[in-house]
Amino acid sequence: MTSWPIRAAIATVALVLMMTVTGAAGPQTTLEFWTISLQPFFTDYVNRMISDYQRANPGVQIKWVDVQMQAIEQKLLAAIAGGVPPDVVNLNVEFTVRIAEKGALLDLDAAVPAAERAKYFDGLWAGGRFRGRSYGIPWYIAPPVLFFNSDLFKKAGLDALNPPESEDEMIEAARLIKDRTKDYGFMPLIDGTRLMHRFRENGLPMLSEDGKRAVFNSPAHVAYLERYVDLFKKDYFPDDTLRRGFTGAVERYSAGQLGMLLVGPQFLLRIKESNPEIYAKTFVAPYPMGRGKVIHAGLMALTVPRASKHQQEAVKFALYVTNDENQLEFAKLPGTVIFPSTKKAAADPFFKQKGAGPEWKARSIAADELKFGRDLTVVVSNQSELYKIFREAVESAFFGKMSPKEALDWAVREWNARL
Amino acid sequence: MPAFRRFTILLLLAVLAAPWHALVLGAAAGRSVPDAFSPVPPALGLLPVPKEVKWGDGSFGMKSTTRIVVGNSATDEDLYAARELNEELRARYGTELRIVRAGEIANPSGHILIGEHASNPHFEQLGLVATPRLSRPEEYMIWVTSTNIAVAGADRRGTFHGVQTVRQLLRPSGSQAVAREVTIRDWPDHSMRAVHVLLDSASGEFHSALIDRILAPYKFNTLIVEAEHVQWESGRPFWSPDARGATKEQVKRLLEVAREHHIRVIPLIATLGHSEWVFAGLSDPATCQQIAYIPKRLRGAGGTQVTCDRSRGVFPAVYDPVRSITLDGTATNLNDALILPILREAVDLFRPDYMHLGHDEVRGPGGVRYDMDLYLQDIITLSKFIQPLGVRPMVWGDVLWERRQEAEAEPLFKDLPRNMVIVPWKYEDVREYPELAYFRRSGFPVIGATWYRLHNNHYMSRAANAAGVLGMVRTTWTGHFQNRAALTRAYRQLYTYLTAANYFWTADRPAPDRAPPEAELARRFADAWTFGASSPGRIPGTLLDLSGVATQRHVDDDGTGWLGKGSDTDLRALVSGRHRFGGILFEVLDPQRHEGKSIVMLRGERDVAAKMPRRVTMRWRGRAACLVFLHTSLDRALNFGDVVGSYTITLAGGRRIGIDLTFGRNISSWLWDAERGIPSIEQEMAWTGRTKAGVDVHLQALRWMNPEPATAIQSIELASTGGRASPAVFAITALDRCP
Repeated sequence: MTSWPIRAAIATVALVLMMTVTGAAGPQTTLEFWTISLQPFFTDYVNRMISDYQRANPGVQIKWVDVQMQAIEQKLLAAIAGGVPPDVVNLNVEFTVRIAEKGALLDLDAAVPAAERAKYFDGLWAGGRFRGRSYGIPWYIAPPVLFFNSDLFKKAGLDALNPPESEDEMIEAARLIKDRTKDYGFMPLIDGTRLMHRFRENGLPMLSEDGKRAVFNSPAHVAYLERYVDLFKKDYFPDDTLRRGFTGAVERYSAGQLGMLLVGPQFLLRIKESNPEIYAKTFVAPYPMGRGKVIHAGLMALTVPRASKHQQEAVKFALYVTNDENQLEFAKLPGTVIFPSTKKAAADPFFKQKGAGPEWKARSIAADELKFGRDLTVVVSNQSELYKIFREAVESAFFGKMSPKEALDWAVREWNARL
Repeated sequence: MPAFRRFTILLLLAVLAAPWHALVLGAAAGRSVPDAFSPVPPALGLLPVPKEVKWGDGSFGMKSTTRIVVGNSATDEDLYAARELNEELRARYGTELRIVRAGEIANPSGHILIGEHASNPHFEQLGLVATPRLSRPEEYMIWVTSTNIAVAGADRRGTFHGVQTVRQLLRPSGSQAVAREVTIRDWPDHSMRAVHVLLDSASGEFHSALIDRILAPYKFNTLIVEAEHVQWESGRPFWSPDARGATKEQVKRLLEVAREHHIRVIPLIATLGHSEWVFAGLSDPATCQQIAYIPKRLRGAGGTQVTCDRSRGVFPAVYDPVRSITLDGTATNLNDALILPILREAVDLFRPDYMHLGHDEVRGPGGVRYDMDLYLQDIITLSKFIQPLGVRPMVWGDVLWERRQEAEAEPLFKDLPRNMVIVPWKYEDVREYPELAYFRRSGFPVIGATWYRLHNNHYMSRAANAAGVLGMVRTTWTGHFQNRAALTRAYRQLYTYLTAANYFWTADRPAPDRAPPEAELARRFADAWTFGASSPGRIPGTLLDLSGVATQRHVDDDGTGWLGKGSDTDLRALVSGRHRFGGILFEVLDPQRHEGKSIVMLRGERDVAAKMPRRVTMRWRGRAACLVFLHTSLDRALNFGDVVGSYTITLAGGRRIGIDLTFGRNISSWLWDAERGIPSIEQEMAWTGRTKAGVDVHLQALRWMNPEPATAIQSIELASTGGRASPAVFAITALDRCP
């Protein structure tokens, strides 16, 4: 009987030989890669990246499927339940946590070597963490900025060179735009669970420090919500704000019927496509920060379903998609304003360069905001039901079913019974 | 140390190290009661709430000599209403009445008269005259006196609705059906009261039952059916419908059932928006790339730009109806090649007055704005195609409302046909619906569309009434298809039809805070659905005593009871003692009299449940045809249908019969499910209460039928799978017979 190290060495050599043989003549491995709404704007980029990978990994084929944001969670769960999961899936933090809770995602703290993990910003690596484990490899992040229609600013008597710097100033500007132009000034991001981010951006916590109690019904929380309910009742933002969120806001802004737009800078491309005239009138300013001096910057991550038949290969491909080179190339695409999740790519001089046009302005502003950016998604068990309760409370306050205080008190009671 | 001694010590250590609470054994006594089950009379409140109701003190009781008297010229439709009344009597009271024509009886006293007022001479003979005359469409009057029930309709639909109300008025009295004296005059606020459903190859029987047991009895008069997956012949061979879609024969049967129940059917073909069905049916993936809507700037790029993946059901967001495509070497476009031929086929099949053309949520990829001129032109093109066929177009109203400034600025806006019905939808609990009045002002007929929420249905129906719209539709969203599975997977969407039924008929009553709660609606729906279950009278049985196996208490004064969250978050609203839920008598223990214990809580992930036993076995010797468990789970399971525990009944002779506790079907969380409401028709909500903090809470009942009722039961084992939705048992009742 040989000793353990010798046996291990023999096994390793055998494995390597086997892999080599398999790589040369064995069957192809097909990895299915799902992204969220990258077509048709980024079709060429993703195809190019895939071709390069396939060339470098002759045994691997990548099948790319681009899924709409509103469909991805349901389709993924259906695919997993049907025993035919994709291998690498682009998810945001909210979806990642919800699907990880079902035990359906691979623990990437275990699957990714420490040296690889160290390449990503620590805070972003922890972004997809649920019950102490990470389930998403950070991909890209885009802190929101303020776009505004300089024409509507002018008509409202506002100075386009001095855009609002705080949330209070933004609300005041929105009032003036509506009063003086009849067009809406803004569609605040308070629909559904986004109000949670606004609370946290203003230093108002959702949970107690031990995470066991909901605390979002303090007088300060109530006052914050009351302020927006009052603006809504006075018609300072349209009713589809609560139903359609930033999708409706981008559409309305692109039609020239909205003064200010708070979105990730990557939406500039869609404004440009939808209405070049409005794009030409668009100015960019820093996101008007709340009192908490932190900005919710949604993180996109790559996850690997636990049921993937090619977990190792999938992790390898996900690390390739998110490596320094690929992220940098993604960030440099014309008209695109996103930021990489790896330290080296983010340090590239490109992000310090100055240029003409709203994209360059947006990039420079968002780069400055990165230090305030965090994914403020509230991570809790039974997330879908708790979020639903929160959404119901917010809608009840806006649509007059309850007062803001009653609505938040109700939601806190319901959360506390479930936490 | 001797080997034996070492073994003994190890064994002791192992026993100590093992969870001491892995298994609890206990004997359970029981108290015999003569009325372990006692039938519960059906709900009292009339739904929809009639406009005018004057109750009397007496009642009319049916006898074997009672006849259902229809007019001398009664048609099949009138006779159908009479037969429905008879079916109700047969199913619930085991009786049936002869149906006769007015001329066959000389004295109408003691009988049930139905028909349009003028068609039955006995109305006047009895002095039953509607003043003022019944003149509104679908209006009816009911007179229940000690000698008669009379239902007079302004038209056939009115008579039909009146008979449905009479069905709700009937109550058991001994073995007899009786109705309390009352005079009702009633008419609808909305002339079109619709439910939107989806067809599939298995939906036929389900929709027929839905019409017969729910929609017609609750006075809906229109179905809007999503029909894009019907097995259309058009477009072949380049396109074919999803094989899971309904056949044309099914549609014909549905139309027949609907006609019998005075229900009009409007087909909905989802065009432009939600058009996955178009892409999914293409035989050549290259065509998918050709018809996909591509934003202007990218149109010239060529090549593959969007995912068309049939295996994943992933397709572009929306198509371009007029983009030039080549099929069989011929240049054409999607409208000419597929959409218009399908519309023609649908007209031939349904012979409808209206056709719904979809056109909702039309957006380009990534949320890019769809060209408004293209959008308007498509509505005009499709409308011009169906109007000469005698069909009025209908479209969803979201795009025309949300982008109204852009739409109005387009010259094409003026060309939209003004007889086109616009259906604005809003599903939140909103109070204001300005889009209804906006579209009316713009010259369009309007139907308001709601979803399952109470306030949404109440306030939109009121606003619609004020705006003078054509009607209301309650939408149902169960994916692309819909069949019996909706009863267990989307039950909330079904039982809340009753809310819509009420407010579509009587828009302003009851006020939302006085409306029946969802648990009652669910019970009422289930009762109507299982129509046919007769009432068996009292059944003796045994209330099992859980005191020997109880592991926890349901109240929490000191942070150690129930979930350990204190008195604000416990089940003290359930007072200890005997309670009758759903006809079953249960005994809930008083923890003060049983060493601080009242329930059998089993092991789960929560801190408090982690200390509980994984399984508990009760020794109980007795015979039972049925066992009814009053129980709940401490949390929601991760997924609907997860097995969270089991009950195993051991019969004399050793046969063991297991019952899986399946979340959402026979057990649910003690907290109201904010997402699913009552999750399935199988889920029997036994008790509803509220915590001190004001949170709605529930217990459920699980009924188990013993396949060997003559064999004595020896033991009942209660077990948990140990997850977050761990079970807790509050009471068990054994019944000598099953109700």
